[in-house]
Amino acid sequence: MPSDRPFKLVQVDEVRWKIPRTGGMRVPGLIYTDTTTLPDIEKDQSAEQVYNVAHLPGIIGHSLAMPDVHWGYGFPIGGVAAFDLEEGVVSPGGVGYDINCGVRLALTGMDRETIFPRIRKVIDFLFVKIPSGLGSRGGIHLNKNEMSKMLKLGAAWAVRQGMGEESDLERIEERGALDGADPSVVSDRAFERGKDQLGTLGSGNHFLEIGFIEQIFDEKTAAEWGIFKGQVTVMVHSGSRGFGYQVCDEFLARMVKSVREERIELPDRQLACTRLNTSLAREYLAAMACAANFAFANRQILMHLAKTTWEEAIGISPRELKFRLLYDVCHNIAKFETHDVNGKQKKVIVHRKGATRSFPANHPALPAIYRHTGQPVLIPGDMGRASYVLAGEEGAMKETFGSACHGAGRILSRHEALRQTKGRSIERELQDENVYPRWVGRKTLREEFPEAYKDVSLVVDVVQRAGLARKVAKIHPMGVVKG
Amino acid sequence: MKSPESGWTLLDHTADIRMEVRGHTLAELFENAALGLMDILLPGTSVAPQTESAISLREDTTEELLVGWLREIVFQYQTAGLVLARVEILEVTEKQLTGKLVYGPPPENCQPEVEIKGVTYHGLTVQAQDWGYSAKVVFDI
Repeated sequence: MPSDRPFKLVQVDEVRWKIPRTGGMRVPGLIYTDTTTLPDIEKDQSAEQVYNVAHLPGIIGHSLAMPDVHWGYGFPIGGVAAFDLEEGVVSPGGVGYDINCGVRLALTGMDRETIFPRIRKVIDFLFVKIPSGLGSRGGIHLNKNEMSKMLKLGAAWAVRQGMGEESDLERIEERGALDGADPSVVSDRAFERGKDQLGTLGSGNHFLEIGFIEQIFDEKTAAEWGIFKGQVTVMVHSGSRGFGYQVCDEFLARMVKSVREERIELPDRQLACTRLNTSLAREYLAAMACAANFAFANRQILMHLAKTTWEEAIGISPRELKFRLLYDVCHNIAKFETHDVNGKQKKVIVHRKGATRSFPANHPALPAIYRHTGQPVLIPGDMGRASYVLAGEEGAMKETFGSACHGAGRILSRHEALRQTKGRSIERELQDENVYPRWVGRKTLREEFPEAYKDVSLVVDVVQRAGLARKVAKIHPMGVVKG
Repeated sequence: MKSPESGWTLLDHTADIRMEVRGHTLAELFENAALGLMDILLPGTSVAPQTESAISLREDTTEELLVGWLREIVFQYQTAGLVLARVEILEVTEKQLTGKLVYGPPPENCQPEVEIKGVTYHGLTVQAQDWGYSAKVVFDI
């Protein structure tokens, strides 16, 4: 770690490194990592970003970083911070441009042996039917009135349109809709930027992946959730598309100005924020909820498209496919939650910027189906190695405001990824591992090649050793559609 | 110090894109930032000018002025598919800019290289140099 940094990184135990309070820090920083993944963190500016977040007014406990942490803008990606409702702030940069970017996982009744010979056909069909790629536009065009309804209802809007089942809703964080969504505070530009993008995957690290359960770690929980070895799964990673980007963009620009009026000192302008008692905070949270609900609806639609396309691709009935949502989780969000603060239950606002909620068994926010197991925590890895299903654990409530990691965590810049893959066929390399990819962008496969990310297995090991979540099952990819 | 070449350079960033821009004047800095952004989206693409729109911005700082300028180009590209052919800066001061954005249609079968979600304020700088101005800006992709 460079010596010119204004803070120290001190090892606490084998999975925790602390940034002791110094200078303008209001709380210490705490990074979950180990000696294997620490060097990746030391290479970029993510630890500085953990330090910077610790300066924000009203921050409680620690400025936290999950083991997949990497250099973002403002908050690190993999950052978690909770704020006091009276003294604290909300920061659009602590949520991100892709508001409620998240992931959902569906289980099927099919096993790997049945699908493996037909995976190319299924992926080819999905590639054609699911709009993906840069600025992709979907087949759903809503007028402002209908779009406003969708922004309030989230996933339930899609279910009402016949896309999915009512029973899906209890398997989505917040039942697929954040309270307080108010489309009247959303600009025309946000409506314009998002209007044709509902039901589209997007680009970059967004994907739709078919995989199978390669390994089960927790037999009891897996059985309760209906997970079995060899079972084929479908994972969707997408968010609020242009709608969310525009919401974030506009409120950030306003808060860059308002911090001067509120006399909030920031080490990085991207941490622009406003105190929670301002009308600007209320407006942002109402607009953010709209964007979050756009994302919930989007993933509901994408999953429905995946299901019907699959049935069509291999001529199978819904009864045979037995397609069922396991869970849908947010990765980029700010939410009001109740947590233990200095021995007292207190309502706070938790920012998760590239982090997953990880509520344990008996948490009142969980639906009955997950009340005695803890919630499913879905951790996608890179497209060549693995993804994980974990279950929320009590340690997350004690230490991380109910949070765990959200993925593997990028370690190579896109430029470096292109340099390292020059002359290589990533398509062939993936196929050698029995992963069939289809993609849109010319450079997507090379920029997103597996080694551009940390090994997700190492990341979830840290999560488990820290007691933030426990491993339930490991998924091996079979085919992927990338934007 | 030798005056560096006016233009733009991409710097390393783990997850996003970081651009350094240089100009001998503030107007040239803003022009190069716009062209650099377009080159990130559609590398090496030039289009014939077809439509133009006037732009007038006023911000509290030069850095915010630069972000506002780039945000406008991202928005027009992502919503209307407008590709920047050139920019005409009529007047630019530290807090104010008036000019024209001249657009053309994207060439056929032209796929953008990246989707820019936002122009961030992270590590944003605009600095006067002996030879002109330099700026650094990070795009979320």
